[in-house]
Amino acid sequence: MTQSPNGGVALIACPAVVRELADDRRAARTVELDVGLHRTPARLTAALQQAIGEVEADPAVTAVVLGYGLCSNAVLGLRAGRCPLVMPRVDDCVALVLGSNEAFAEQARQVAGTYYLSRGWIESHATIFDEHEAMAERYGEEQATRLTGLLLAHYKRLALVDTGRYDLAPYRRFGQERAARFGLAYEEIAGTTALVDALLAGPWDERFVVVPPGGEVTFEQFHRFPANKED
Amino acid sequence: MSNELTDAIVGMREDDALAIVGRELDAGVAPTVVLDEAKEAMTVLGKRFECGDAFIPELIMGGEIMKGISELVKPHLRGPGEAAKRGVVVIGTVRGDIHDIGKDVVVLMLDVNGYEVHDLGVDVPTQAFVDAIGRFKPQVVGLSGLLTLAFDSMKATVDAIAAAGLRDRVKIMVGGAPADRQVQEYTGADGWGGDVAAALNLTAQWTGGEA
Repeated sequence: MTQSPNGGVALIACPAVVRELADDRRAARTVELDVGLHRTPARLTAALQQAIGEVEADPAVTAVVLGYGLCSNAVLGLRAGRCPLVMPRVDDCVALVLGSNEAFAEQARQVAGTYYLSRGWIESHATIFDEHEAMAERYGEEQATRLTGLLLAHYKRLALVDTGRYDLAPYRRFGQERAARFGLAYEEIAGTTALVDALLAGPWDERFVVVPPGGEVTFEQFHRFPANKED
Repeated sequence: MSNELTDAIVGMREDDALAIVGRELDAGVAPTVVLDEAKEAMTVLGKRFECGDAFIPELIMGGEIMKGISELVKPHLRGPGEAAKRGVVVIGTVRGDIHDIGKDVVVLMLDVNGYEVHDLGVDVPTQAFVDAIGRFKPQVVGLSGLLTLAFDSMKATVDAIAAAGLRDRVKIMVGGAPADRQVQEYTGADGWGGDVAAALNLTAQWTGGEA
């Protein structure tokens, strides 16, 4: 079912996604959760459900939009309260800025070992290079370099996603410097703002999962079983 | 059984951990006892990770220490008394995904628990799984992935195994942080696991042994 927002949209999003939105784009309410939650899906689920309850308590809110994809299945089991619950039908934020799961899968087919960068991830300090700094503080630079090397063992390419929204220069410098330091090929790949923009502006068409009030987010809404392709 | 080794591993003190293992083996402690202590540490780390008290680097470091320990212990396990392998497992991270930290820990733990493990690596094409089943005759096939896009690769791999006429010869487990019963059903696998313990349990069950 195609729907569009009619004011009153509350956005609950990862900081990395919020930074991909147009600067003039505002939701009626915006809740940013901790960027690190994606590493602990069960905690992310709990935080999302709590935030849904909080924004729905505001009578001005008419729809709740999640700036999250499937995100390690963290959104599965979430319940909509009195408002429809909307989220992009993508695996994660990489697919979100690339435009679709298909675009993500195509990049994975080309170079499976790709580490993706965007303004959102860089500015949210959510990259492996930020973790490297944290590890260096905890275990020393030598041990950190060894661990980051292990983490990046199968990565070949560092890809900066260019959605065309902002000047890449500062992020390019960030990417090129890290690529050189950790022995990765640096590349800029085309993304899109289409899905990110439609989060708040609609239309919430087949690119989105729209859960009616009182409904629950299910696996089938993201990955369709062969037997029930009609849904 | 001392907790000294467990503490050293959990505390990321690699040199200490290896020194303790060397000392215990020299003192005649049974290698299986040493491995049990090390395995206990990995269990503790796994639980801490689930609670958010430990992070990926700690898990990797734990895996690295565990690798070092198993290298020290293995020579003591070999010999006339070595039991026959408990079963054969083919495992790999499916096409399009290159995450292997969890998979590597599973490989290591299956290995130290007495299984013959053939690790196909990462971004493994469906045909490579089919070929490996023909070659190694495993009872168990493990398909690993962290990205949700891996679900489709897992499904394609199960389908390819079926198309090759090998589906009835193997039990297939899908694993990785996002794996659950729905992923198992979607991919057509026989079981699923979200952690190392689950992989060990399924493998034991499917090879007719205790976990």
